[in-house]
Amino acid sequence: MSEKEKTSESAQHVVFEDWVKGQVGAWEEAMKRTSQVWQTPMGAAPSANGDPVKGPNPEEIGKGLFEFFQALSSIAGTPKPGDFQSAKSVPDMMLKMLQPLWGYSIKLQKQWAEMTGATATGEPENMAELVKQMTKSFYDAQGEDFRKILNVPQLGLNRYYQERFNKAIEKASDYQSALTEFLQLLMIPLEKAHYGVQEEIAKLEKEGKAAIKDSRALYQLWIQKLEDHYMALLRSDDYMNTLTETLNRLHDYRAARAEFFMDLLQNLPIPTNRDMDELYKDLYILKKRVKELERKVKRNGK
Amino acid sequence: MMAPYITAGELIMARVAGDTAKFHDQLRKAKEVLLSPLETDIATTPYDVVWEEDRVKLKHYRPTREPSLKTPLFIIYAQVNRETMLDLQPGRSVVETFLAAGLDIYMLDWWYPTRKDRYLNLDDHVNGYIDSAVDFILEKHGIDQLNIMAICQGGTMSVMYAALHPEKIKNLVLTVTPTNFDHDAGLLNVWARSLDPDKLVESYGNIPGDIMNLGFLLLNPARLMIDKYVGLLENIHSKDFVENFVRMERWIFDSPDLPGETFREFIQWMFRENRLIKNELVLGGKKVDLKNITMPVLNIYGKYDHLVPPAACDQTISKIGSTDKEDLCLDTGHIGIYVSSKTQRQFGPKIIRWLTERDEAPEPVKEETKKTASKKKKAAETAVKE
Repeated sequence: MSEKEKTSESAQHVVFEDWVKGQVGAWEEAMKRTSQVWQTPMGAAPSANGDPVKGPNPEEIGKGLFEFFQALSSIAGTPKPGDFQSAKSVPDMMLKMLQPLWGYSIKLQKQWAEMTGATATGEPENMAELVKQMTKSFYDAQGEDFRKILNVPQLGLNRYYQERFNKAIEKASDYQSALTEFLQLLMIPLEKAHYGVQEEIAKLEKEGKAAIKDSRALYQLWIQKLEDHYMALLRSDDYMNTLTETLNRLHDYRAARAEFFMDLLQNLPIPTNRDMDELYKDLYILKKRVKELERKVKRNGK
Repeated sequence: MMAPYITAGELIMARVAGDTAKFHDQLRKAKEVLLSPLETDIATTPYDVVWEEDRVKLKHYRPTREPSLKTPLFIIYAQVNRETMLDLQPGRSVVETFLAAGLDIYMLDWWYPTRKDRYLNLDDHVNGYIDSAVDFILEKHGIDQLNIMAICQGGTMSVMYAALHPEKIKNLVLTVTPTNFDHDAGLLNVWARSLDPDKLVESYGNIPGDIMNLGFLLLNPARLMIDKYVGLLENIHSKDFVENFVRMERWIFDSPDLPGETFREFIQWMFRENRLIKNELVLGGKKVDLKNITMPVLNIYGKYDHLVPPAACDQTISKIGSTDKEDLCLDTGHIGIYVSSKTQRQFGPKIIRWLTERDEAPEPVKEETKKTASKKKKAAETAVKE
């Protein structure tokens, strides 16, 4: 390798490293802000036998997520010497890379199961609310930073194209957050129905009856509760407002995306939707006029 | 002691698997069923396409016997989903039942709208396509009137058509037809009032069938997205069950797009303003007055219909001008009315009997008489203008 090539390669390496560090920094910041939501103490709900629950506290969850993302970024970042020394093949290397990731994802799943009341009961409304707050906080934090960057005034010959591109990205992000909120809302009846079945099992256990004896009856109970919870949700103002907001943001995103694609397509010999819609409108009006004239001719002919 | 934790997946498996020995036997049979040829074709009753205008087609079903009724029956389905549901499978086909009774059947096929159809509105469908198809049938048979049977949104459009062109309709059969939209009995009504149809139409042009499918699934996610498939797993060893299930799936997810302007007008004028039942609807410059509906009307709806509940249908009879009119509420849901074997024994025969009792088709009007009548009408119109 020549000196010039070596210099170029190390420059690229430095740039890449800086980029990765920058990304890690941004994610760290977003996670810190999100973890602030979890500082609000969530009262521990009693378990089936009335004992206080010892689930993970919000700080532990935050720490777990933080470590997860650190593991993720360490894989993308500069590997340390000896990291892959014992790896003899590509699968081995992949395994070594993915091991920390896997370990932390298992840890997170366990924390999640404990938090949702896998071994204890927690109020599903509080749980769902916590998840909603977490997601909203994450998207708000991310959106706030992104919006500032995307709304920086553009300059030069390409300014309008850049603005439309940035707008499409911004609207995509807004739509993503609204859609996530909507989907989370749809998950709430699942949690509630599940909680209802767990309560029923706990009640049977208390009465000394075999809880899982008739699992078909439990399934019927679960599906009935699920149906009832969905019926209540689908008529609620919360659902209507979330659905309306999601559809509005979808509309804004599609409009912004269409404008961006128009910029791309005008350089290609491909008609855009706008071009075709104008043509279809003209065709429609012409056809209507012809039909009307045909009817008049037919009437006059008779 | 901690209560045992059971997941949703385990509940489903318990329901499906049940007895272990029996489950193994079912699994073996299921494999044989799924790997064997399955008869899942729908709409197999033979027909000919006798008329077309743009994307819309008119199907004429080939008679299986000598006609028993003089007046042909024109069936108008909704634009949501496809009319193939009326001919889902042999033995559960409304079309078959009617053909066996000697009815001469025409059916409107709205086909699949493309982007070029986005500007078509209610007037285009009612006074355009439906009227043109009616004229074709009348001219072909040399008659002045025909029978119409309409389904769901097709029924709503047929009510508009009957109010604007009552002279062309001999008898009108409405099935699961909403005319009153001002109620909260159905979720669709609750949702539609909060939706902004303009934004959806601006976003998509035509409303995609997939979005409508998703909307219908969300009406009851527990039953339509979970319990239904658990039921399939439980019965997957049964060839008949699997074939019927797949046919229904093929129909239910075969959703054409809805022309944008039609969707916009339907949501705004029907769901939000309820113009039809209030006699405030104007189409093609003419008022749709329900009192103009004077032909015999049979109005059939389902007691357990969650899409078009009884509250949407039970005001029709009281608002129309007919003297020969009847409400019939069946113990079934929206689709069950056509596919449930129990309802098939009530529904089809009732309609056949009702139409037969009123089938006194007038003598075909001769060509000379038509021209004379038309000239007289034109002269009268000119006199009024002067």
